[in-house]
Amino acid sequence: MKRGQFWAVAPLVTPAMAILVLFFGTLSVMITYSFLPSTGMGQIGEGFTLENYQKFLGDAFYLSYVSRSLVLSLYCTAITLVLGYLVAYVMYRASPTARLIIGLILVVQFFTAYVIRTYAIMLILGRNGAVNKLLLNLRLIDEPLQLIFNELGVAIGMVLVSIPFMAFPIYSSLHVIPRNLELAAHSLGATPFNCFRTIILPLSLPGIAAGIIIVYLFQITAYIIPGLLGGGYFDMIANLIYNKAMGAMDYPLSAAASVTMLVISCTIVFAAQKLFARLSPRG
Amino acid sequence: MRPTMRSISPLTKTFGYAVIAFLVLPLVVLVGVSLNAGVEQNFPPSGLSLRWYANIVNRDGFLNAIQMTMILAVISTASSVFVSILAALAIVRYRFFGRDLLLTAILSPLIVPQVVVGMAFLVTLSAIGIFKSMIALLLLHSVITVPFAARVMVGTLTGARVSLEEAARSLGAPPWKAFILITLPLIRPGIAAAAVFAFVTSFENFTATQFLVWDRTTLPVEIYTYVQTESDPTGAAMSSAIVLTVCVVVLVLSRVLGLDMLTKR
Amino acid sequence: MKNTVEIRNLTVRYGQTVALRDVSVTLDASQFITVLGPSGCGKTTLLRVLAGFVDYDGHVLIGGEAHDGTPPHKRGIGIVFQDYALFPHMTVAQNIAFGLRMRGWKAAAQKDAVTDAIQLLRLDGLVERYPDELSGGQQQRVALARAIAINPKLLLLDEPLAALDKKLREDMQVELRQLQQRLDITTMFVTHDQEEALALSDKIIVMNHGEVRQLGTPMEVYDHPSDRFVADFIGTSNLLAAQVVGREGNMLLCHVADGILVRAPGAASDGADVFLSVRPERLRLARQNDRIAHDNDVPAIIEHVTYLGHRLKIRVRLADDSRIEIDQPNSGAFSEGDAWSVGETANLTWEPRNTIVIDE
Repeated sequence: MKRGQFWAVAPLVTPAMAILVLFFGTLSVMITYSFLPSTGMGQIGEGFTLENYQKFLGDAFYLSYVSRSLVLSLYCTAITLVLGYLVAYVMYRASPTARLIIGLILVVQFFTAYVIRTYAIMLILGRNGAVNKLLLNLRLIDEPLQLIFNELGVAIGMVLVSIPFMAFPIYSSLHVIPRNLELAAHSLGATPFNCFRTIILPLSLPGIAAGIIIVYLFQITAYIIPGLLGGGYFDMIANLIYNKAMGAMDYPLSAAASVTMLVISCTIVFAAQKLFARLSPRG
Repeated sequence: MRPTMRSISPLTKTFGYAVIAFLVLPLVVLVGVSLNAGVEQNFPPSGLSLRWYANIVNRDGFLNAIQMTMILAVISTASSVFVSILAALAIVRYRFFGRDLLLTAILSPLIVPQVVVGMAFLVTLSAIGIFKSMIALLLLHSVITVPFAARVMVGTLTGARVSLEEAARSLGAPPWKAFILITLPLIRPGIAAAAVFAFVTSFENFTATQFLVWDRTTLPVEIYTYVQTESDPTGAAMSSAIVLTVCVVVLVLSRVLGLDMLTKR
Repeated sequence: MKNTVEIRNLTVRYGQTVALRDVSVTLDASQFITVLGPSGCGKTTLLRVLAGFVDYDGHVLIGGEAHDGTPPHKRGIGIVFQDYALFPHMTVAQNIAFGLRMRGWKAAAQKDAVTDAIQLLRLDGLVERYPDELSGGQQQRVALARAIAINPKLLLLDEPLAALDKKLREDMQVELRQLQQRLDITTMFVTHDQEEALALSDKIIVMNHGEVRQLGTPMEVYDHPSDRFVADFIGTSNLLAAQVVGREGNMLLCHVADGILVRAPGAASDGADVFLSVRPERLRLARQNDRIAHDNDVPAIIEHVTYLGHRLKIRVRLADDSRIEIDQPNSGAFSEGDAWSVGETANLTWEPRNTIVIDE
């Protein structure tokens, strides 16, 4: 560090360092707990042990939570990608007024707590909810559909809640594509579809990559959506961690599960970044 | 039709707007349900009444939760914006060992799952013994709001022209005066945006917060338990009140700050 | 010693890169000195060292006083930045008064000084405007007004005219020079535009890769470039590879392009490989019946003629495939059907004393 610069930088950076110590400190304690034996009721014993990981990773029951979280989120992210791209594209092509309105709608979604958005979806999908009421009135069904408290409800909820997270990064990428590119392509004879396929889509790849990472991470670690829309019948990994910690008070086991989720999340982020860096066109 | 710059096939357009409608629909239903005259959570509402909004006041749980949530949000917003401005100044204006690492570390809570953060705070704070306390929640919220504020502040300061501060210094202003008189006024929109994101993050946080609540809870937690246990529209009313407030705030902010600032996530 | 600037053994490093390498120059008091060079040559770094924004090894003395370690806000130097750096949230008057405000001047005194500056820089009527309501030229003048309002001992200008269009730039060049002379401030002007440098300066410092290549008056730098870089950077150099084969009086005899003998002033050893440079306007294309005795004379083939209205630029090729550019006034021969045509052979002639010998 250059002379004199240390004294300028240090005070600026100290508060942030305090926050980081707090954050990484708590994470370290949690990681430590995952290697300690559990003696029930939130108590822990002495000594390093791998029993929590063995219990968690060795038991098909626990692993099923992990796998169902990873797998369902895969499907949901794919669907979210299509729908989110649609929204971003419509916004990209819209008139300035329409774009403003769509933007405001998306921002409102962002700023509204997940709990509220999920509850609102419950009201639509429930047995007495809007969807069933409509289908019954139109006599398309005789009995209300079970759209809630099952995997389907959770899936629908995850997609709906995630769409804004996908739309925004994709729109950001689309937004910066120079208008001239399309004009050039058209003048060279490209149909609108070709233009989309060869120009717009590749250039929106960074946004797609960002969106996929954000959405997938969000979905595999979701708590509220499986909690409310799953009603206990489709708990995901986050629900398991909470239940084990607050219900059974088995801190070490929950810690081990948390560490596993952390490792999975970090891996996904790094792997996806490497993958997309390789795939995306230069510039 | 010859392709124009704004050309989009009608089919795509229809589907796109349909998806957007599906984003709006739940909130519309929510508000509708909250206006029910009866106890049933019907949509369309059977009879219109504001009684459930009035009922919010009767529920101590909600009132206390509102208070708790606001206190947490205001304090953690202030602290994280403060931390972020300082850290962003260091990161953007100086080259020092570990600078990139620092930035990554500050933003890292963004990729750590909320449930893991909650777990980490739970075990640590209960081991220390400050579990189930205001301090615990304040610590948690201070931490989770920082990355959001920091991201905005780093972006803002990257765009802020250093030459302005240098000009001020060359004219005789010591560095701190140059910052306060020149840079600060010009990054006000950025600070406002950072504060907004921090506030929203703290206000709506559920998954991590629920690990640390006891008799006293925050609003999201209160709503969550309410809608699972009770079946009258009060929960919908409380939620709608928040949604409508958000709408108003977003409209005002988009006027004052411009939509661009709000979408800089 | 009044506001002479002395720079001694100045070295600046950014990490592994050396931006300035052991630079020593003196800027004489009250002179307009231009630092000229391509991007990355270190000229802006030099300016920032004087301003106090960069750490360095070496010594800087302004008016005889050492300034190493003095922070920018205590240096009393006026700076005009490339992007003008006008405070967007302050009016023109507030911008100009800023330095005075920092020095604790009373409001009345500030107002007087601002009024003087406004008149000097012809900014009347713009006092209450904000920077984004001004044209580029007006912004530039406000930046100048702000810098001189504090009565600086040194004025630093970092490519201030770069953003202006050609006509405006030329007007501003004149105005700038007149202002500097009127205020009698030592001024350092940074630019990559060599025409600008030649037009404005008392002295020019030519830099490349962090080093000073030449310090001299415009005439010295143009007519007697010290090395190939300076010859190339200022004007067109028209370099010819040559070999010294002897002397005649105070002239060197050299072989160029397929063994043609030419004369050039200078001193170099027999057999040395040198470069000869002749400025385009000192070359003349002649036909067989048009040659002057004692002139250097090399056969050339015409490759391209560019008509510029008041001048003609003609590019020719010599026997050794080197390209030479000739710049001659449009005397009317072009329009009279007497013009040069591509592919025609002609004689490239010039007076020997106009040859510049560069021996690196």
